[in-house]
Amino acid sequence: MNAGKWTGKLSPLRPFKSWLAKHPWIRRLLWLTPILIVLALLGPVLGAVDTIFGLVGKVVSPLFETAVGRVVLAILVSLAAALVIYVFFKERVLDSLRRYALSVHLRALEARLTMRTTEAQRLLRRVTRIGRFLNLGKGLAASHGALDIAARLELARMYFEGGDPKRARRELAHVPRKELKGRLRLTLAELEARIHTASESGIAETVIRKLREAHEAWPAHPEISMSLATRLEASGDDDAAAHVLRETLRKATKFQSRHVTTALAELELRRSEKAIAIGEYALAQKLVDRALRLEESEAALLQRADLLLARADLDGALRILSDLGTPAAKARARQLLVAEDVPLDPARLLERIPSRTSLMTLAETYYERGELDRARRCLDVLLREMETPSPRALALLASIEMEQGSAEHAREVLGRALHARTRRDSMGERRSSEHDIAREPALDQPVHDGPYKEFEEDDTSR
Amino acid sequence: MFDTLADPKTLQLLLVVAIVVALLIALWSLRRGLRRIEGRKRIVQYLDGVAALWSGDPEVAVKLLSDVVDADPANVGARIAYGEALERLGRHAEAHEQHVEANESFGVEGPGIELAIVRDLHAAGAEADALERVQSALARHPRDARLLRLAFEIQSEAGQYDAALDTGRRLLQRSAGDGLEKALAAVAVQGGLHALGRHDQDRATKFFRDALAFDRDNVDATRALSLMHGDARAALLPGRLDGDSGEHVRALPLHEGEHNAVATVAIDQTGHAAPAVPRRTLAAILAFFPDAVCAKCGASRDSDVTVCPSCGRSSRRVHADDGIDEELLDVRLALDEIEQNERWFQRLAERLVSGDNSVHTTLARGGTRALTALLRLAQQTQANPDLETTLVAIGRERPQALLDVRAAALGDSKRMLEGSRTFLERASGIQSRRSVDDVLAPVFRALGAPAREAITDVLGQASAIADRGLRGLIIDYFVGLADLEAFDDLGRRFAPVEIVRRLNLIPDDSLVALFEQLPAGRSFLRDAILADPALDRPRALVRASLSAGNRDSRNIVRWKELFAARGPGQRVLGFLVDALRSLETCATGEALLEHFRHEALERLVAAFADPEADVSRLEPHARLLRAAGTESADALVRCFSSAPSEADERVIALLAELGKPATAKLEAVYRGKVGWLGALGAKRFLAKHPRACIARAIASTKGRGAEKALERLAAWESEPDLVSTIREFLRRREGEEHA
Repeated sequence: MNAGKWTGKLSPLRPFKSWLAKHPWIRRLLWLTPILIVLALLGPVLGAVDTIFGLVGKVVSPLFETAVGRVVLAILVSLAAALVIYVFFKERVLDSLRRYALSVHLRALEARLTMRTTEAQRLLRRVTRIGRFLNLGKGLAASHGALDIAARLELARMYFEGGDPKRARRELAHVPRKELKGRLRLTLAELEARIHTASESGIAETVIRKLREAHEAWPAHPEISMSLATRLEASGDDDAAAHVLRETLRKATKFQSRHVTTALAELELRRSEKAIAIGEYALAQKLVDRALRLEESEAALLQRADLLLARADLDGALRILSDLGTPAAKARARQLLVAEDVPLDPARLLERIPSRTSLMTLAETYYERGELDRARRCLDVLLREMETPSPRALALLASIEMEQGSAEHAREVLGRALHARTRRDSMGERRSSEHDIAREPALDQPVHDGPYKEFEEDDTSR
Repeated sequence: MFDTLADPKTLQLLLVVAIVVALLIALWSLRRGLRRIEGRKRIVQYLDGVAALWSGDPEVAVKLLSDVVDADPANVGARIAYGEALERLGRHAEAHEQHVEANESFGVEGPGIELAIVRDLHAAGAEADALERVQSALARHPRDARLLRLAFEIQSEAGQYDAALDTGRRLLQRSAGDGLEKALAAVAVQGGLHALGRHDQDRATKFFRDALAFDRDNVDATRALSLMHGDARAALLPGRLDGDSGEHVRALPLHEGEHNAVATVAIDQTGHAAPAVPRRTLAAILAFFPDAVCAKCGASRDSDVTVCPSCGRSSRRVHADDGIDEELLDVRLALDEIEQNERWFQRLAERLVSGDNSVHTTLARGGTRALTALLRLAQQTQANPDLETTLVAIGRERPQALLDVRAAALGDSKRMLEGSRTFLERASGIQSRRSVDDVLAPVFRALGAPAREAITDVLGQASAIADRGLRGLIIDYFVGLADLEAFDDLGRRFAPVEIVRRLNLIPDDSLVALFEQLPAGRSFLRDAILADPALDRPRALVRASLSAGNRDSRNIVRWKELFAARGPGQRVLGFLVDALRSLETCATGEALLEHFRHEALERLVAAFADPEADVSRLEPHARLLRAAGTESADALVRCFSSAPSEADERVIALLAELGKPATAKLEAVYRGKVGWLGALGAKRFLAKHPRACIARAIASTKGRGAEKALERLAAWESEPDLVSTIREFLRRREGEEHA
C-alpha cells in the first residue's frame, strides 16, 4: 500500500484499508454508499435519515441538560471511540504498547548494565505488569521471546545475585516452561541450576533432577555441568559425574572448556584417590593417567608419584618430584627422606632431585637430627652462587650458629635473613613458578575430538 | 471562587480537562517510549547478547553484541554489555575501549562505568592509570562500596599500604565481611614487612598491630611481632616435639602493652612414621621465613589448601625464595662437600697444591679423611710445602690418625703392587708415586712435642718396631724433636748404625737443631752418632757447630774435639772455610779452623786467592795462613798462574809477611825445586809471571836473607826481563837501606 510521504505509516486510511480487506461485506456496503446517497436524493430516504438523526437528537439532547446526562454521554462517546479504536486500530495500539514495553525493557537492561539496580528492577517489574495484559511475545522482539518472561528471568537473576534466592524462585515459578524457546530457555536453565545449587534446603535428588534438566537444556554450559557433576559425585555416582563433564567438553567451546577440563581432571583424581584407598592401584593408575592427559596438574603428578611409590618404584617417583619442583613436591620428598621404610638416603635424594630445594630439605632434616655440621654444609652449598640469598636458609644458618655458641654471628646472619626477606616482599614481587604445571589445554587443539573419545571406550566400571 | 468551583458545570469541565490531560500524558509517555526505540537496530540480537552475557556465555555474547554495536553505535547498553563480554574473555584492552567510548562519547556516567573502566585498566596491567582513575572516581562517588573495594585492591598491589588501609577502613564501615578483614590484615602485614625492609621498626610495629586488630588470627603479624620484640635467642634455638599432637609450641612473649596474650607459633610435624630417634623441631624463627607462599598475595602458606586463607583467592603454593628451585650444576661435588668424604678432601688437597691456601684450615680440621687424601696426593706429586704444612697440622692434632693412615696407605700400595701383572707394570705402578714414608718423613720431623706420646706408645709396640719404614719415621720424629734426652732414649732402642744411616737421608736443615744440642763430655749423640765417620752430613755438622759456637763460645771446644775425633774431612773443612766469608760465622769458623789449619790449608789458600773473593772478608784466611807458616807458602806460591790475577798482590803480601822461613821455600820454588822430586834434583820450571811474583814476594820480605835470595836469583835467572826486575828490586832495597 502506498501511503503519502508526509503520513507514512501514520496514514489514517491504512488501518481502514487493511480492515476493509478483512471485511469484504462492509467493503461492499461502502461501495453501495454512493448509490444510497444517490438514492438519498430521493426524499424518503433523506427523510428517513433525517428522522433517524432526529430520534437520536431527541434521545441525546436531554442528556446535555443534566450533569448525569453529560457524564453518561461522555461515557458513551468514550465507549464509542474505544469501540472504533478497538475495531479499526487494535493491532496498532497493541503494537505500540508492545513497543513501549520493549523500550521499558531496554531501559531496564541499560540501567542494569550501568549498575542502577533499583531502577532496573522497577522497570522490569513494569514490563511484567504490562505483560499481564498484553502478549509481549509478539512484536519487534518476538524472536527473542516474551518480554515479560525475559523480564522475570532477569528479575530472578537480580534477586538471586542480591542475596534473595527465595524471591528469585518466586519469579521463576511464574515462568511458563513450555512456551520458552531459544535464549530464554537457556537462561531459565542456567538460573534454575544456580538457584537450586545455592539452595541449602531441599532433597538432593530434587536438586540433581533440576540440574539434569538444566544440563539437558544447555549441555555446553560449564557451570551447570560442574554443579551437576559435583552433586552426582556427592551422591556417590562418580561415573555419572564424569560422564556429564565429558559430554560438556564435547559440546563446549574452547573458552568454556577450560574450567570443565580442570573439573574433570580433579574428579578423575578424586576417583583415583578412592581407588587407592581400596587398594585398586591399576584402576587408580588409569584414572591418574586420564587426569594427566586432560591437565598436568600438581596434584595429579603427586598422585602419580604416590602410585609409583606403591609399586616400589622410588626412582620414578623421585623423577616426578624433581620435574615438579614445587613446595608440595619438596614436602613429599622430605617425608620420604624421614620415613624409615623408604630406602632414600641424602645422596640418592640429591642425585634424583638435583636442586637447591633438596639441599634445603637435607639441611632441615639434618638439623632435626641434630647433625648441625652437615646441616651447615648443606646450607653453605645452597647459598653459594645464589643471586639472592634464600632468607629461610639464612635463618636456619643463624639458628645453627646460635646453637653452636656463636651468638654474635647468629644475629648478624639473622639480620641478613630479615633484610633478604623484607627486601623481597617490599619489592612486591609475585612468585611465578617456573614449573607452571597447571597448564591450560592448548587452544589450537580441538576440544571435541581427540582424547575424549578414548574415555567412551574405556571401561570405567570397576 | 469557591462557588465557581462548586458549580457542577465547572466541575464537569475540570473533569473533562483532567481526563484529556491524563490521556495526553499517557500518549506522550507512550510516544516517548516509542521514540526511544526508533532507529534501534538488531534489537533481538541485543537482547540475546545481553542474556547470553549474564547467563555465562560471553563468547556468544561477544559475537552478537559486536554486530549490534557495529549496526547501532548509539546503543549504549549494547556497548557496555559488549565491553563486559570482552572483559570476561580476557580481552581487556578492547573492553576498555568500549567502556571509555560509552563514558566519553555517549555520556554514560556513574560508579558502574567507572568501575568497569578501572577494572579493565587493572586487568590490562596499566596499574598507574587504574590507580589514577579509581581515585578520581572515588572523589566523585566516595560511598560506592564496589569502587572502594577495587581501590583497596589496586592500592595494596601498588604498595600504597597506608592509602589501601584507609580505603579498606572506609569500606569496612560500609560493608563488613570476614574476607575483607583478613584482606586488610594481609595488606597491613605487607606494609609492615616493607617498613622492616626500610629499617623503620616503629612503623612496622604499627602495621603489624593493625593487622592483628583486623584479624586476631593473622599468623604472619603474630610471628613478626614476636620476632621484633621477643627473645631472638630463644627463637633461634630448636624446640621439642610436644606430646601426641606432634606440634611444637613455643611461647614467645610479645611486647609489653596491648597484646598481653602469648603468641604461639605452631610448626608442623614432618614425616609419616614416628622416628626411632627423638627428633627436634625447627627453630621457631623459621616460621617467619616460610617455605611456601600464596602465588597471588605472597602470604605464607603452610598447608596445601586450594584457597589462600589470607587473601581468600584460589591460588597455588609457590616457593617463597627466588632461585631455590634452581638446578645444581654438580651434584657429586655438592654431595662430597656435605659428606666431606675423601673425594672432597682430594679436591681440596688439589686446590692446596695449586696454590689456594684458603682450604688449609678446612683440611686441617678434616681428620683422617683429609689425611688420606693429602697423603695420596702427596705421593702423586712432587714435594709441596703447603701439603706438608697441612699434614703436620693434622698430625699434631691426631698423631695416631697419621700412623693409621700410613698403615692404610701402605696396604693400598701393596695391593696395587700385587694387582699388577708384570714386573714392568709393577715397576711403572710404583714409579709414578713417591713412597708413603718418603712423603711422611718431613712431616714426622715437624710434628714436635704434641705427637710425643703417640710415638712413644708406638715404640712400645713390637709390630710397629718390626716395620722398617716406621722405624725410619720414628728416627725422623726424634730428629725433628731435637730433644737430647728423647734422642738418648731413642738410642737405647735403636742401633746407632741405623740411626746414622737414617740421618744420612735427612736434609741438613732438619739435622742442625739436633746437632746443635751436642753436650759437653760424653753422650750418645756425640759418641755414637756425630763421631761416627759414617755420618755423611758435613754441612749439617758445620752449621750446627757454627750455630752452637755463635750461641756460646764454650761450644767451640766441644766441636773442635768432635771434629778432631771423627776427623774433620775435606768437606767439613771446606764448609768451615766458606763460613769465614760471613760476618755472622767468621769468628766461630776461624776458631774452629785454628785447630785444623794445616788440614784446611789448601782450601784456605784457594779461598784467599780466589780472584772473586771479597777482599774485606779475607782477614781470617790471612790469619790462619800466617799461623800455618812455611807450609802455607808452599800452597800460596802455587796460586800464581802464568797470567796475572787480582789475587796476586795479596798473595805476594801474605808471602812477604811469612818472613824468612818462607824465603828459602820461595827461592827453591823459583828455581824449580818443588816437592820430593825437587829434593832429588828434578826441576820444574815455573812460567815467567809466577817467577816474577815470587821475586816480588821475596823483595817484599824484610831481612838480609831475602836480599841474598834476590841476588842468587838474579844470578841464576836467564830471562833478561826478570833479571832486570830482580836487579831493580835489589836497587830499591839498597836505596831504602841507605834511606
